[in-house]
Amino acid sequence: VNCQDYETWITGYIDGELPEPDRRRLEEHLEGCRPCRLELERLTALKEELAMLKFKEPGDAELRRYWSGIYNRLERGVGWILFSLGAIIALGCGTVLTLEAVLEDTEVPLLMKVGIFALAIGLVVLLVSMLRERLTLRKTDKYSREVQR
Amino acid sequence: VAPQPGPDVLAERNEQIDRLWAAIMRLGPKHREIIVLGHIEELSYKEMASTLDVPVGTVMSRLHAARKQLRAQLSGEQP
Repeated sequence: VNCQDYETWITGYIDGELPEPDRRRLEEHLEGCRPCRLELERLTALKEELAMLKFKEPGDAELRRYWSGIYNRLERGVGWILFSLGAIIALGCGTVLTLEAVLEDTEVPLLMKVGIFALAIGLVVLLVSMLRERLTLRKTDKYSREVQR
Repeated sequence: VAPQPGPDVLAERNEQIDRLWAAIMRLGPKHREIIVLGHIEELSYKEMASTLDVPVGTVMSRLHAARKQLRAQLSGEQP
């Protein structure tokens, strides 16, 4: 066995695939052969570098692929719409029920009733006014589309 | 949880991976094949031998030749 044969064995050695008797012979040879020891170092370094090929980058690419699926986008969209709708209905109903209860309650003084009623009406007016402002701006603001992106 | 590597580290690693792949693509078909089986699929010598229908000794010598070729490619392109 010459150095060239040993060199091939080095590959099997660093992969842990060299049979026992050959492994021992190679180790004995390595002790006395500097060039082969150098080759072992270089091949080990290369193997470590090649291990990077197994490295897979999670993140942007994965995420983009996830969102490119129509179902995933639909799921999230439908989820948000249902959530918002539910919140609006629940809040609206709660407000109306509370108002009803307060206005019908004979023990609550009239002034208090007027105050609460005005508060509720004021809130609705403010909300509508804000919505109208948004809608008007959306129609007339020529930059809004670029900003949205 | 392992700390996320910074963008500079990731960029460097990506560059190195690109460089490796470019070198692998320049190998001959047999060498490229054995590198992919050994380093991407991570097959054992025995598995590679049965996949390629060659003796285990051939797997070792071919893998050795492929790695040497690859190393030459990688060092050749560096200034």
